Amino acid sequence: MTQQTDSFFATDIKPGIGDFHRWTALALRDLKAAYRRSYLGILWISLSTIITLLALSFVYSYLFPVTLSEYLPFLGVSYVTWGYISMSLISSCHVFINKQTYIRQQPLPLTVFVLSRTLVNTFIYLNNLAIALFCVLLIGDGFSWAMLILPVSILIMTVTTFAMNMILGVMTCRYRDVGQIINSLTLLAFFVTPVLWKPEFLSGRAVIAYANPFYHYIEIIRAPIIDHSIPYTSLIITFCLTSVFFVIGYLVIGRKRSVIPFWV
Amino acid sequence: MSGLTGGFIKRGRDVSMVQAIRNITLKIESGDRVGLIGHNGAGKSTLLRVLAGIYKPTTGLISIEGRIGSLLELGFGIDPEETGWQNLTFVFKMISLDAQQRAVLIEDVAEFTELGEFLHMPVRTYSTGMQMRLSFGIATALSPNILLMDEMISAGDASFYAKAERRLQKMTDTADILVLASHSTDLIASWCNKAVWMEKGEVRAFDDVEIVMDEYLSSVT
Repeated sequence: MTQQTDSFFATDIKPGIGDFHRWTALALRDLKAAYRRSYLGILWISLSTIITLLALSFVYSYLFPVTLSEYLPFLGVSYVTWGYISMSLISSCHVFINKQTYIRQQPLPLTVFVLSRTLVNTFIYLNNLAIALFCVLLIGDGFSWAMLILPVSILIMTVTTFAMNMILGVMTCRYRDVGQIINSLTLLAFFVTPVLWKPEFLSGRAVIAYANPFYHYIEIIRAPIIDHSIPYTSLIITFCLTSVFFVIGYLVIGRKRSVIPFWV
Repeated sequence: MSGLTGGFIKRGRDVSMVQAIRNITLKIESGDRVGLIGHNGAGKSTLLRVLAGIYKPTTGLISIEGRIGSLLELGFGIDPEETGWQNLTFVFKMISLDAQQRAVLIEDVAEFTELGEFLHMPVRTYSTGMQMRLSFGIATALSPNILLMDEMISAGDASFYAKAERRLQKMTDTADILVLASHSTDLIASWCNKAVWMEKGEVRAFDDVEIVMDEYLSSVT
């Protein structure tokens, strides 16, 4: 039964995806644990987003040369998408470490943990994105057919999360400092990425934004919703980046699979 | 001075590693009840983890035919904040794949624990003995072909202890192969027909239980 030569796909990815009930149960438990014993429970996901969006958009529409009805939808989409990116990066570092009790006691496919983490993050994101979309439909420019590209964009985001879990999850097991480094870098990236501000604000130096991969990940969600256009360039760039991340992740975890139970 | 316990420590440039077990050749067949004995750190638990498929051997090969069930640590998957029922549902989703079988197993464990109404309460409200009942019930619910067990901790009151032992006995009776790591020579003598004596990560002896036990006992006294 046990073959040392089997590929990671055969030992972990395929059975992991098949273990639907495992990773959904795990995701549900993590989600419940985060909001346990609070009165509003899971409603806090939406509520904290709404509070932040309202507060930020009032302040920034006053500081920046934009109106509230123009800025709030933009901020909504950018902010929740950035939230997803940073949450995915930071949580992917601890995807295996946090589940060490499971990994050290049962021979479960590692993708069970990756999938459950990806599911939790995506669930929270979709929740938040719904609020941002509501702002757009209510006070923004309303519906556009370009929004139909969103499932593709969200799929790209989800696969990237999966890939990052494989890369950062394994690296952090071995070098715990990676978690701290990613924390700092994510905060730094927030300031250089057009989340709160638009690339146009840079007036002539917009190349700073376009050279930033995070910009394109946000743009594949933001452009269809806010600009009513399909961002072909950003879609191609993010697709290529995601493929590269996935291949790297697969190679990293495939090589280190057998030592992860010792490292966690 | 060389200690009697532990594996080999390899000091590297930036990491030191412990080689817990090495050079192990064992053939365990259907019907075998194998007891693992040895000092602390002799490699018993590591060997069980290798057999369970958690640790992959760095060199050599392991081939296993049959479904493995392992009781390595009690308390797998228990979240103290969740109720007994929630924990049962969760744990069996993690360890058992068939939904129908899952329902039967959960009922079985619920009955075994005798926790009654407490199953609706968060596990953090349980006494140590009650938590023990729950974990033990879960751990002994599956009926695998190959059963791997690491020293079972004994807790709970006397009547539960007897009940736990009967349940464990039933479980080992239905398994084709049992591998049990324990420091209790009595337990191994009464449950096993073969024994492996581990020392410093290697197999010192593997034979019928009486022979190995005699050797082992004469060496420690």
